[in-house]
Amino acid sequence: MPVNILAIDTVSEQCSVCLQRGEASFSRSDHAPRLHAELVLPWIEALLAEAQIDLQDIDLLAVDVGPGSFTGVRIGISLAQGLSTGLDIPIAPVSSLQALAMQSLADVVDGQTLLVAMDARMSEVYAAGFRREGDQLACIRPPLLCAPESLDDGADWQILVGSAFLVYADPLATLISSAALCDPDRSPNASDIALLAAQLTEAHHVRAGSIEPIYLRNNVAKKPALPT
Amino acid sequence: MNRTEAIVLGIETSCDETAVALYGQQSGLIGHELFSQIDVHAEYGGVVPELAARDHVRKLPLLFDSLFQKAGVSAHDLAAVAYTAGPGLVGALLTGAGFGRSLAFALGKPAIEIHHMEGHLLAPLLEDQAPTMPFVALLVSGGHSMLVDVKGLGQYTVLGETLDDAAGEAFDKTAKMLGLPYPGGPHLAKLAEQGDDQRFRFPRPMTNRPGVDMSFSGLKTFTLNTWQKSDKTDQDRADIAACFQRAVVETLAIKCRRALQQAGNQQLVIAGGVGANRLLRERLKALMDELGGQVFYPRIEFCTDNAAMIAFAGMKRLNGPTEQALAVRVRPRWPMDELRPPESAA
Repeated sequence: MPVNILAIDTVSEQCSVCLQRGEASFSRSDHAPRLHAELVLPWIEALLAEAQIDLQDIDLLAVDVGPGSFTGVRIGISLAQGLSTGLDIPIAPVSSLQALAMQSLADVVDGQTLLVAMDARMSEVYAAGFRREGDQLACIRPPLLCAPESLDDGADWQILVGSAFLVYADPLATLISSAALCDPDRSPNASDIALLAAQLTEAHHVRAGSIEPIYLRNNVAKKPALPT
Repeated sequence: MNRTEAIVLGIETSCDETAVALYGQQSGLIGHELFSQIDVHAEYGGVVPELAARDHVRKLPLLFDSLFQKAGVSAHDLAAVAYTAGPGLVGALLTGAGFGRSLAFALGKPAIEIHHMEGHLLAPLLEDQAPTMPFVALLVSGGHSMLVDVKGLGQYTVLGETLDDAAGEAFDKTAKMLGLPYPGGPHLAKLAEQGDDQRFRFPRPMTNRPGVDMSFSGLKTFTLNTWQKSDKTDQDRADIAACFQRAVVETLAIKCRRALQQAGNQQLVIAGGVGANRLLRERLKALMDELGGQVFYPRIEFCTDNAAMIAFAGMKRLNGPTEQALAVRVRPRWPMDELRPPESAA
């Protein structure tokens, strides 16, 4: 069981870093579009000072591997790769949708369902569905990229979380009106990344070269028409 | 190999090559690894920035492991980590800079931000027959075309540059028009060998007026018109390729002559992908023979993007000011004359 965990989340406009030293938690978080690359390492240095430990005392890195902003996903991963390589410690990769679900655990009663959905731009959303089973959230709808309308497929979601429910409030109006709670203001955070990483077994830890970003959107360029 | 010497790691991810290299103060180049993304972008007919960045983040740590394993070096042996901080594609740059800066932080070693084009112009210094500064550098690649007066390390005056397409870009786009596979430049040069470069009269853009600036966009259009008016036979294609290549090479030679005159220098350094072009090499050799000067090139594999030149530039700047700030910053646009010598940089 790793004692000290350093977690990074840069996949949304929110930038956050969390240092877990045993039971104590130290963190920084800010709404900082396009500034993530500049903020993360200085924040880590500041958190280490607060926690009074050295970078070399970190046992495990944790990073949000998406889905989210492509560049944001890669900033977090690149930084984690460099730290992992230099410190010779593993990385626990965590999905943004799972982190967002984790953040909402307290709002979900046992047996209730939770739909997390983040704006993916281009009139699409990144989404995943969960059901609370005891202290855990079981994934009942695997992460997907889809049009907001297709989230409303007749399934009953009690809790709705994520930016999609603000950006696409109109197409999602029926879902929103029948939910017990809807919070579009939450975004993934390093504290939840650290929490989830602590629950992962070593089998889920990876080295820098094996980390897999989760983009979901893979059709990112048009192939030219064949010459006639 | 002397392991007590200073060793600098170089990282290059500014466009479509992922590369790492180690340079030792005494041993010189210890090792270098490179992964070219040509296959990734081929079906799109050009570099797709998002796909480039995706590939960098996947390949960089693997190349790193392979480099250190082959060299028998540990990351803790490093004196510094140097990485390309610009110019280039922002998403691509961020992967190398993020990795490099955080690696340096984790090792407690300095980070050195390298200007990609400084890497290119220093590349010929990796060879046994290396020029000594001052010299004039012709930097010609798919992204850049410029002539630089190099007085010393970090003392660069851009004498002229392209106003539109880079020379390599013109090669690639022309090749595409002629229906050649991606990346077109080398294919066009190969085809040109079978063509008659005297068959058509191609312009030598911007050589009728004084100055060292270049323009290749009009030449590209001229080539397209010539191709469309032709019977489009294989011989037409080869002849047009030959005439186009001849026009670019002659234009560059004229600009080099002017730049050398302007700088009062007799040493010419060629770097960048187009520097691998055989006709260009021959033509500039002839020019320098005529002028009683000398021409220098990096080996072919270091003409295109690589990390050996970044590690080398990092070594040259090792004793200057290094990047103390932990913020990762990249500069997709970074004018070369903003660089300073290591001793005087603020």
